Amino acid sequence: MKKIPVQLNPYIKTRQAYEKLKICHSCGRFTILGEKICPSCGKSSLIKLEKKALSLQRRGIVKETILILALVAAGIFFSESTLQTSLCAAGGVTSLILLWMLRRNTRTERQSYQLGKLLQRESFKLVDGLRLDREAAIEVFHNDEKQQAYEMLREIGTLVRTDQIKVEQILLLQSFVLRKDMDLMLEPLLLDHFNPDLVQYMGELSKLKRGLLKEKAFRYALIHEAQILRMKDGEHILIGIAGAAVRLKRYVILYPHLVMRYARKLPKDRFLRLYNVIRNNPQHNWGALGAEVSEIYNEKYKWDTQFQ
Amino acid sequence: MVTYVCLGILFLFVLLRGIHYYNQRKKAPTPEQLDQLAFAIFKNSDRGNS
Repeated sequence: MKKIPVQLNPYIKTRQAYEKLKICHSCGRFTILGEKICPSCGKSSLIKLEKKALSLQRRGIVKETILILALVAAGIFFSESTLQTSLCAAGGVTSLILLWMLRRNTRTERQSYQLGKLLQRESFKLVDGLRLDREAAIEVFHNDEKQQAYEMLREIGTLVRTDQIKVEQILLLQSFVLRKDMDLMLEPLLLDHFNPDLVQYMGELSKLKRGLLKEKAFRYALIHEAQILRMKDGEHILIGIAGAAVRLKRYVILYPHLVMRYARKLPKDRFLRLYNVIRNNPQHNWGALGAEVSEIYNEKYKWDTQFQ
Repeated sequence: MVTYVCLGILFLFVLLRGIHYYNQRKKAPTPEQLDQLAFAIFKNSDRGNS
């Protein structure tokens, strides 16, 4: 398959995944795509969920105020003396002030509460909205706009963490010419089962952005090591992954067997890194890995000035 | 008399709203819990489809 060069737009991270969701104020459609214009009704009435929760809260406040005013009006209407009228008016003002203070003290938490309720109440609409988003992404893909389709799936994948969405993203990524400066990701794409395209992608990342390979990726490589070795270039991919693992002492400690099995075939710079990790931490019991590294060092790099 | 009943209802209403607000505050989910809730909704829907 011929890979296509693309310029991916950066992925905008939010503190929480749900913060990416928007709801149409007009038709109630949920979406994760688009900023203002609703993909369903075409109106520019998309708002963030927090804003929707706030507007629901405000609606409640208006109802409460109307009720208080109605009670005060009824009290004043039926009052038999000036004292009763004044008492009723004072009671109304006190009630409004009390409620305002209570609202102010509980505002943030009540907004979260409303948000939770909104998600629970509208869960079917939410799922349906993101299903429509995915269908839109597939349509874009069929129009041969792969880059846009990937970016749309990437957004949807923030919340919909199904294997299907992950595989679709991996396949699209594998159709691109990947570069170092691209905004790529790995952990959200890791699957529970073996997938050769994912492994190929991990192999490319180990050359381009080894910082993206973290614990979960090393665990994935270890679990599926036998299947990866059966792949064409499988061993090279594992060497790359082991090379990425040596960048941190923590990973070397956690995955010594993965590192040890491919230590002999690591490129010089990666082996030097591993050698330094072990040499700089003599207090740690490196066991068989330490012995293997020492053997390789003696065989291949003993006279190398970089290792002195 | 009616005025006093109205005032009584008014203060009872404020009291009940106050209790309701504090209950909501106690039950309010954290942002992380909201995220988990959203993930769970999609996970369950995926299970339902498969």
